[in-house]
Amino acid sequence: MDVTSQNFIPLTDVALEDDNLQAALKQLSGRLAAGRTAGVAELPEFDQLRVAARDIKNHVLQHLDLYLEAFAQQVENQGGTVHWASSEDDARQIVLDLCRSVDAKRVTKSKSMVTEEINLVPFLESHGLETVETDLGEYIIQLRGEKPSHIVAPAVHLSKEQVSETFFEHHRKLGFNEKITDRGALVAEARQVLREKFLAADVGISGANFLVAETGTIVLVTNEGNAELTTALPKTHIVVTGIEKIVPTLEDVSTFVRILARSALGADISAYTSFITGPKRDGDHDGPENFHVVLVDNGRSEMLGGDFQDMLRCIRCSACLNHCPVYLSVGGHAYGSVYSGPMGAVLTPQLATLDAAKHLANASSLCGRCESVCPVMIPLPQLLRQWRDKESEQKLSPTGMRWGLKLWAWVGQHPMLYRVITVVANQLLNRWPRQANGFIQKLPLLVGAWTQHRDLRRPEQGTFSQQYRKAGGQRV
Amino acid sequence: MSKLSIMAAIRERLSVTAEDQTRQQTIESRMALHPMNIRPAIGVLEGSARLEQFVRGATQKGASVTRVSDIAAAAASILEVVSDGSRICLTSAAIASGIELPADMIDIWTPKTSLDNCLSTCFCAIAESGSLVVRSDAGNSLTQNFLSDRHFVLLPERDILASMESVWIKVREEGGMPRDLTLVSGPSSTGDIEMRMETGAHGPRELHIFILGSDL
Repeated sequence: MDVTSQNFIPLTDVALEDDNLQAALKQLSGRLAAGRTAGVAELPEFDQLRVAARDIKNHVLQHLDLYLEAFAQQVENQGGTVHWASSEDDARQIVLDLCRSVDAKRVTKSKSMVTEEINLVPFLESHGLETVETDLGEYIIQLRGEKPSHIVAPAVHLSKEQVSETFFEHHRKLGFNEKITDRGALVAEARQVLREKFLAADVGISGANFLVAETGTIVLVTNEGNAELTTALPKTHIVVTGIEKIVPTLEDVSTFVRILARSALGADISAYTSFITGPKRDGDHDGPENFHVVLVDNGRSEMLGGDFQDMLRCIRCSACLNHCPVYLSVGGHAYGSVYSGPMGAVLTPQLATLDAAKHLANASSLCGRCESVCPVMIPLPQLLRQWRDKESEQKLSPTGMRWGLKLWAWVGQHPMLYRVITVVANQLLNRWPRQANGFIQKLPLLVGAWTQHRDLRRPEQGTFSQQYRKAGGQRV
Repeated sequence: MSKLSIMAAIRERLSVTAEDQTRQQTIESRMALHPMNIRPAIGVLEGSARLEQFVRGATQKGASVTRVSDIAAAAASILEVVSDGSRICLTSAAIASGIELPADMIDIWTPKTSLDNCLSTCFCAIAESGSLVVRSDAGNSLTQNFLSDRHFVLLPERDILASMESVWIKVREEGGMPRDLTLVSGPSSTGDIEMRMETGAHGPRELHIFILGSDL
């Protein structure tokens, strides 16, 4: 996976200065996180469902080879074809070959993070296929040549004025001469433009939220209805999805449907949940004649049986992004990966390289909100710590940092020395010249980074040990 | 060859072999028995509580829900909504219901065209989430619904089931999954511009549900 996560630190500076982005992130936390809280409160069984969902995924991962075979068998029994892609190169080539085999010119696509991961759309376009994203958010960023900044709401970083500019620039040639800023009118304009694309498409590409092994069914969840038009109108439907999306039965997928939309935005269910099983049948009025499923590994099998297996439970709901103080400060683009927020910080080093993505795991206070809202109970803070360990083991972090941490650990293991140092540091800080109203405004050298963006409260009360003694605490 | 290499990679990481019959039995029994997981209290309602929950759920999601005694009453209600001179297209199953609408209002559908209004039936409905269950078959065409500005649906009251699990029981009784089975929960919407919900993204802008006291 191509990433620019190496630039995380300079990109966060850009993000913090971007007023549009900051306003958008405020909306995001206000709407999605608050929505989730309300949605979860309505369902007393939510935590039991999380446990059940975690257990189903763990069971599947332990039997992944067999469930994949069962799923593939069912797809083929229904008249579909299954393709296996070890890498992103394989996956892209399979899709291109399938498009060529039906002499396709025009392709519509519904939203899919796996296709973002393998950078499918630019690849198809570079081979002469007109490929149009049909999810409104994806469509907007496609026109702007941007990557998604959020796994569920890809254009969340944009204001309606920016969308308006983009539509005016690209839709003028289609006869839309008026610049509109009303949200409803922008949605209506995109509907009109994309309706033509749906009707003219030769191939429809979708991802899958879940794959049901029992029936060979793929499950798609949308609010817009674009997945249904993408998959049911063209002659050929290609599903591109990750091997970890399997669930055993329809009963199992029901458990996930109950927690997915609630975790994302608080709704009990999205507007459309489609269960698609094979190509058009005799007597059907519509549906594709050709039905293909491309199962993508691209680094996933390597996560099995190892330190990061838990991450394969992820259902891409975005709850961890919506609750992450880091994501909510810098947005998705700073991560330099299509997967952002805590789930992106864990997944990106795996799918790209740790060297390229090492900053992501460090950009966390490990506050634990992500784990507390994760519907499949992924221990995200623990996984982030594991990447930090690996970074240190592989000597990818700066030498000064590694020695600094070693020194800190050593001091921490020598209580007398620790106490002396903290008392001295405490007195130094209290007498520090650059301060106002009890806050220190500027510190030098290594600790200077702390005061670059914020002030440090003067430790007037003394060290913890001093306060503990003053409060009458005993040695234990 | 990719399949073999992916399978080999998975088995190596899990430290298992393809020959292990116990694992195969485990997954086969799970799929054959398809045990129900937790069903929330809201998903096991009966009688009038179930009907009320469906109406509440569908209404919350922006659908209009009208209870009518029979198909003639449904026709009258549809005419109240389609009073703007637009025409309405009936799916084969809706025609088979015997509903009578003025002949000059009826639109004939050609595939891959957009419509003002579409009247269809549905497979069943789910009280828990206020969802309709529509499916592709000889009676109803999925794209006909999705290419319409307004979707009208006839739903006999007795077809309102408790939860998704109840739908799967019905699906298995009737020969398994159709090509497409979609849970429709309100009109098409999007929150992709500034996180504000707008209706009418790509599918129907309006969803009108008529709960019939009688059967179809």
